[in-house]
Amino acid sequence: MTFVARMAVREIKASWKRLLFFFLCVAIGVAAIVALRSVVQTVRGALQDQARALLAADVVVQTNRPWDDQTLTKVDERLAEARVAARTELIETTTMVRPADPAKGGVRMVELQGISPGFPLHGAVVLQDGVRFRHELLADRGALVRPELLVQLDLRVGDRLLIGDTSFTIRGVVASEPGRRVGAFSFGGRVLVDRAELLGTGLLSLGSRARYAIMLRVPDDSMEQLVRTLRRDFPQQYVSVRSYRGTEDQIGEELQRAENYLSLVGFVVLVLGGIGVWSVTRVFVHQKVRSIAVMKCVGASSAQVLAVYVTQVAALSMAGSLLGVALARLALLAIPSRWLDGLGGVTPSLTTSAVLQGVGVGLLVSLLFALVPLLETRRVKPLLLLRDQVTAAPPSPAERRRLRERVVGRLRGTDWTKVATAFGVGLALALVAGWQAGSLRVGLLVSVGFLAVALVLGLAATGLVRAVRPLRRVRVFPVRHAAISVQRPGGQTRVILIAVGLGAFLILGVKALERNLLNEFSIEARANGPDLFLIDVQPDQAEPLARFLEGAGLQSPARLLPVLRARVTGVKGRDVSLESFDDVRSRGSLAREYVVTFRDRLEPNETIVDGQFWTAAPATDVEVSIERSIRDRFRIAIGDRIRFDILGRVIEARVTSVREVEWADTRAGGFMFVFRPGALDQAPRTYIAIARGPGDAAERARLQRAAVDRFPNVSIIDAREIAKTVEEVLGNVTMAVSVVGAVAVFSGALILIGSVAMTKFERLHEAAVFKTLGAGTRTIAATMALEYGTLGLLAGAIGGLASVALSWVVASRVLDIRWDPSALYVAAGVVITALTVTVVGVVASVDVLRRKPLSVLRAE
Amino acid sequence: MIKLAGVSKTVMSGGQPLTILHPTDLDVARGRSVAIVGPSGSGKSTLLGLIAGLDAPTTGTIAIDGVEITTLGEDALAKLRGQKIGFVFQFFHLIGSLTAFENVLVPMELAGVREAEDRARQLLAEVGLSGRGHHYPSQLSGGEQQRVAVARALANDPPLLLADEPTGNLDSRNGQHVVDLLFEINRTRGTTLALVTHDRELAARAEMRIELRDGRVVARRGPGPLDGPHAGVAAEPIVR
Amino acid sequence: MDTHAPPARAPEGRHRRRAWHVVLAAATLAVLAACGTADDPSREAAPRESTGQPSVAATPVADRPRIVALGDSLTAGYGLPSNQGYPSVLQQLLDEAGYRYEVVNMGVSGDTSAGGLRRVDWALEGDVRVVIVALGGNDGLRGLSPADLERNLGGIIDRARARGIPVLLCGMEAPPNLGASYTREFRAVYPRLAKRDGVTLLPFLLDGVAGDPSLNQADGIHPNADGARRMATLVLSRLEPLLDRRGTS
Repeated sequence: MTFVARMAVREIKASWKRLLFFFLCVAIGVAAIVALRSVVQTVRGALQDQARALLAADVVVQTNRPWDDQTLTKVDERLAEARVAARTELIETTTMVRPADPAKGGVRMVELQGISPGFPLHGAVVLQDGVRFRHELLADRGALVRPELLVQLDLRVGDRLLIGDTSFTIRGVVASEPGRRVGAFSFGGRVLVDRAELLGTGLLSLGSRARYAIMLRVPDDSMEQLVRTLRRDFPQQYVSVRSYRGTEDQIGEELQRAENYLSLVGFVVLVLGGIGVWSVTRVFVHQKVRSIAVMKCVGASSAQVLAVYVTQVAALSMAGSLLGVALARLALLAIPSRWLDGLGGVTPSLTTSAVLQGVGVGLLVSLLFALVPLLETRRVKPLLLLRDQVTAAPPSPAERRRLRERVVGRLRGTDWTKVATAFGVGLALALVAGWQAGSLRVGLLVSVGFLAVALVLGLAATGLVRAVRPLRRVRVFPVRHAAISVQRPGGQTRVILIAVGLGAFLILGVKALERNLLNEFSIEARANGPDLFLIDVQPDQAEPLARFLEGAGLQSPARLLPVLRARVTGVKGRDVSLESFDDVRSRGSLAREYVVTFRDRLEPNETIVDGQFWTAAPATDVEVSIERSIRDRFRIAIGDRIRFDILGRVIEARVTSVREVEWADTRAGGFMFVFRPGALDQAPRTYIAIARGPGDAAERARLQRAAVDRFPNVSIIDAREIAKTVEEVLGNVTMAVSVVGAVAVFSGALILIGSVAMTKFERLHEAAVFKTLGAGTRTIAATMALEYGTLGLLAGAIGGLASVALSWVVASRVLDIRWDPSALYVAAGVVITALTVTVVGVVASVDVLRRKPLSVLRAE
Repeated sequence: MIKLAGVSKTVMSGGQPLTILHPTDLDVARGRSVAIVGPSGSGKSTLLGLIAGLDAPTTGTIAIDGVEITTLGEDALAKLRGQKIGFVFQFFHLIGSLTAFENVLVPMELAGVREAEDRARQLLAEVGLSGRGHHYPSQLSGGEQQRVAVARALANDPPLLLADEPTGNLDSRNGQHVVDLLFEINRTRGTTLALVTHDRELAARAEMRIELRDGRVVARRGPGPLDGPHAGVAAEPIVR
Repeated sequence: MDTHAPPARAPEGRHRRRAWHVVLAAATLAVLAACGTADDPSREAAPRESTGQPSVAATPVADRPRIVALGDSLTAGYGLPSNQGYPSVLQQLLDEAGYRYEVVNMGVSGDTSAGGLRRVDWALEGDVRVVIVALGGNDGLRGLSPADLERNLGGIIDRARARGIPVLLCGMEAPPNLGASYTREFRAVYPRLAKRDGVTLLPFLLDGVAGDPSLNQADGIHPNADGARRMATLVLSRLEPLLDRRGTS
C-alpha cells in the first residue's frame, strides 16, 4: 500500500466515530439533492406528459383553410429538419347530425373530428364499457360519440347516425379523449370518425368552416426551434402553431409556473446540499491542520501532504455521497404514494442525472473546500500552523524585498495553482448545477440573490464581531464568554451566520413562494366554479329560464347576468377615434366595444379600491364603475365622464368608483364597466346564465336537451371538460408543488442542523478547559445558548428579510402571480431558526458537557 | 553544521513591530552539543525554530550542513528536515490519529525507506517503549509521548537533532530519562544536538552554551568559537 | 392567431384565456371554435364615428331621415376601423350620390335573429325610412333551427311593416359543413319571407365576397375593407329603388 493509502487507513481506524458523523452530514446533503432532484424530474415529466396528452401531440400546426400545396411543402420541409418522429392529420368541423332512422326526430350540432391512424400521439381515447379504442372501429363509416349525444337523440351503440347525407354507425361511446386544449369550447360534443370518410361526406366544400390540423411528435431538443421556424414562415394568421409547452392558455400558464417553481426548488436544494458539504469539509480540514504541520516538520513535501488529505476528503465525500444516494432511495420510498396519485400514479425513482448531480456536488464541493485551504498550507511555515495562525503575518518591508528577490517566482506559482484549482472546481460545480436546471433565468436569479445574501451575511459577521466587543467586559459569565466566543478567530461566527443565513433565506423563500403559488391555484381550482354557460338569453326569457334552472338539479344556483354591448367613444369630452387597422387589433385601445352590465351589488370577486359603489342617494346622472386596469392604463379618474355608444344611442356616464376584479374567480364573471341600474333598463340586452351543471353526464345531457327545447335560441357552452381538465391540472400541480416543497424544507432543515452541529468541534477544547476551571454544565450551556441564539437570530433575520425579497422577485417577475408578504410566516420562520440553532448547538455539544474534561483534552 | 549570520525575527503584534530576536550570529560544528538558555520570552524557541527552517527569519542567513536554507522553498525545506533534522517539540506534537509505532514510521515512509518497520521497532526499543507501540498518544503519559517524539526525531538518523524544552512538560524522572537519551545519542552517534531549556543544570551538560535575554545573546560559553566573526572552526572529526 | 397577434399587454396577461373571457367571446362574436381561432376576446368591433348627438340618453334627435342597418358583426364592421364597415361605406356612397339620409349602424356582433327581434323596437325609433335586415349568420354558426330563424325574421318584418317601414332583407348562407339539408332549409327561408309585402330581397349579402381570401380577413368569415365596399355596393343596388330623392333640399 502506498503511504497515502496507509495514512488514510490509519486515520480512519483512529477516529472512525467522528468520521462517521462527518460522513453522515455529507450523506444528508447529497441525499437531499438526489432525492429532491429525482422527485422534481419525475414530477416535471408527469406534468409534461399531461400537457402533451391535453394537446394529443407535441406540436400542432393548424389552419382554417384546406392545406394548399405550397404551404404543405414548406411545412414538410421544416418537419424533416426537425426530425419529426410521428405525424397524423386531423380535420375538425361543426355540423348537424340526426338519427338515420327518420322516425326519430332531433337534430344536434356536434363537433365532428376526423382522425387518422396514429391519433392520438399522446394520451388515449377511452371508451365506455371496457371497449378498447382502435382506429379500426372507425372503418367503414364508424363513429364514436359522447354519451350526451345518445341522450339527446335517443340513440344507442349500433344505431345509425346521419352526418351530412352519409349514414354512420355508432361503434362506441367516448368516456374521455385527449386533445382537450384546442377547440374545447364548442356548442356540441365530439363525434369521432375517420378523416378520409369525413372528407367523403362532402361537408367540406367552398365556404366551409373547418380546422385542419397536422399533429406531430417531435424530439424535445428540436421542438422549440421547429415552432419558432414555422411561426416565422407563416406570419399570416391563418396558420397557427402551438406546442404543449405553450403558455397561450390557462393550462399552459399553470404548467409553466409549476415548471419554474420546480426548477427553483431543484436549484435551491443543490445550494443547500453544497452548504452542508462545505461546512463538513471545513471542519474536517481544520482539524487536520495540526497533523499537516507535524508532517511537514518531519519531512513531508506539500505534494505528499496534499495527497494524503485530499485523498481522505475525496474518500469521505465519495462514501458519504454513496450513502446519500442510498438514503435518497429510502426517502423516496417514504413518500406516500397517494400524494402523487394524480400524476398518473407515477412513483418517483432515482433518476440517473439526479444521482450524478448529487454525487457530483458532494465531491466537487468537498474538493473545492478542501483543496483551497490545503493549498494554502503549502506556503505557510509549519510553526505558524502549529500556533493556529493559518494566515501568515504580513512580511516586513525588508522581508518582503528579500522574498521578492528570491522566491517571487515560486510564490507566484503557488498562488496561481490555488486560483486555478478554485476556478476549475467552481466551474465544474456551476456546470453540474446548471444541468437539468430547467430555467436559466430562475437559476441566475437565485444565484445572484444567494451571492448577495452571502455577502451581506459576511458583513454582518464582521459587524457582529465588532458590536459585541464591549460585551467582553460584562460581568455575567455566559454573556462575556458568549461575546468572546463570537469574536474567536477562525471564522466560526462567519460560518454559522453564512450557513444558517443562507439556509433560512432559501428555505423561507421557497416556502413563501409555495404559499403564494398554492393560493393562486386554490382560487382558480375552486371546486364550485361554473362550467355551464347559457348565452343569448333574451330579456323575456330571463325569468322563465331562471325558474327552469332552479328545478334542474344544478350543483349551485345559476346566476343571470345582463349583458350589453357598448362602445367607448369619448372620455372627458375628448373624442377618441381609431386611425389604423392595427389599432383595432391591439389591446391597448380604449375605444373598442365592451361587454357591460348593470347591477346594484358588488360581486364576491370584486373590491372597491376607489370611490363608492352607488351611494344611497338617488342617481342624478348615469353612473359607471370601472375596473382597475382601465383606470391605470388610460388614467381615468373618479368624476371623469365616459361616452358610450349603445346601439346608436350615446350615453355619457360619470365614473363614481373603481373596482378590482379577481379574474381567476369565474363564479361571477367579470366586467370592465358596471353601470348603475336605471339608465340602461330599456336598452337592448341579453342575459348570460352562469351555472355549475349536474355532475352526472346523462343528467347534464337531459338538462341541455330540455333547455334547447324550451329556449331554442339559447346556446349552451358546456365547459365541463375544460373545467375538469383545469381542475385536474391544478390539482396535480398543487400536489407537485406541495410535495416538493415539503421535501425541500425537510432536507434543508436537516442540512442546517448538521452544519450547526459541526461547529461543536471547535469549542470542545475550550469547554473542557472551562470545566476544569470550575464552570458548571449549566453555565457552559448558557454560554453556548447565548452565542448560538444570537447567531441564529441574526442569521435568521437577515435570511428572512432576504427571503421576502426573493419571493417577491420570483413571484412577480417569473411566476407572474399575486404576492403576499406573509409577514407572520416570515417572523415565525426567523424565530424557529433561532430556536433550532440554539437547541442544536447546545444539544450537539452535550457530549462535551458531559464528558470528563481530561478525556476531551487528551483526545486532542 | 549550523551557521547563522545576522539572523533576526520581527513580528507585528497589535499593529506594532515586535522584535523577538535581534540580529544574531552562531556557528556550531558537527558533533557538538549546544544549549540555548534564557528566561521565557527571551526568544530561544524562536531561534530554534529558525534553525530548523520551521520559521523564516526577518533578516540574515542560515546554513545547515552547508545548505543555505533561507532561500529554499517549503518542499525543499521539508525534504531537508526529513533527512537532516530531527525535531523534538515541547508539546510533543505527535499525530493523534496514529499509534506510537506509526508515528515513528512516518518520517521513514516519507523518505521512502524500505523495511522501515524493523527500524521503528528498534527505535522504540531504544527509547524504552517496546511494548507500547500500538498505543495512541492519548493513551500514553507525557513522558512516554516525549520518548516517542524522540524516536520519531531519530527515525531517519539525522545529523542534527533539535529539542525545544524537551523536559518542559515532564516530571524530573522522565525528564532525566529523555535528556540522558539525547546526550547519549550525541555522544555515541556524533549527532549535533541543539537544545533549548530554561534549566541551567541541564544546560551545563552541553558543551556549548548560549544565553539569551530579551532577544539578544548576552553570553556565550564553551569550546570553540560560537560567533561568526571569530569563527574558527574547531574541527573535531565526527565519529559516525 | 394566438401565437403571433401582437403580444397582449402584461396586465391582461394573467387572464388572457380564462373561461369567462372565452364565454364573453362566444357571446359577442360569431362562434369560431370550429375554426380554431377562438382566442382573443379583445378583437371586437371598432367604434363608429361620433354621431354628434347630445350627451344625455334620450330618444335620438335626427336632422335627416334614417336608414337603419340591423344586423350582426357583418353590419357592425367587426375587425375594421370606424369608417370601413359596410354601413359607413354605404353612407359615403349615398352622400356621393346626392342622397340626404343618415345610415344608422345597428349591428351587434354575435347577434342572432332572436336578438334582432328583441331590439327591433329600439332600433326603429325616429324617422326611419328603410330598415336593412342582415341577420341569420350567427343562427347558422350556432346551428339554430331554420324554423326559428324564419319566425324571428318574420317578426322583425311585421314590426317594421307595422310602422310602415319597407324592409331590405339580406339573405345569408349557412356554411356547407353543417350539412346539405340544414343549408338547404336555411337558404330557403329568405326567399319565402321576401314574398311578403314591403320586403325586398338581396339574395346573398356576401355574394362575391364569401370564399374569396382577398376580400376577407384571416378568419375567413368577416370581410375586410375591400369586401365591405363590395357589400355596400351590392346593398346600394337593391336599396336605391326604395329611396326617393325628396329631402335633398
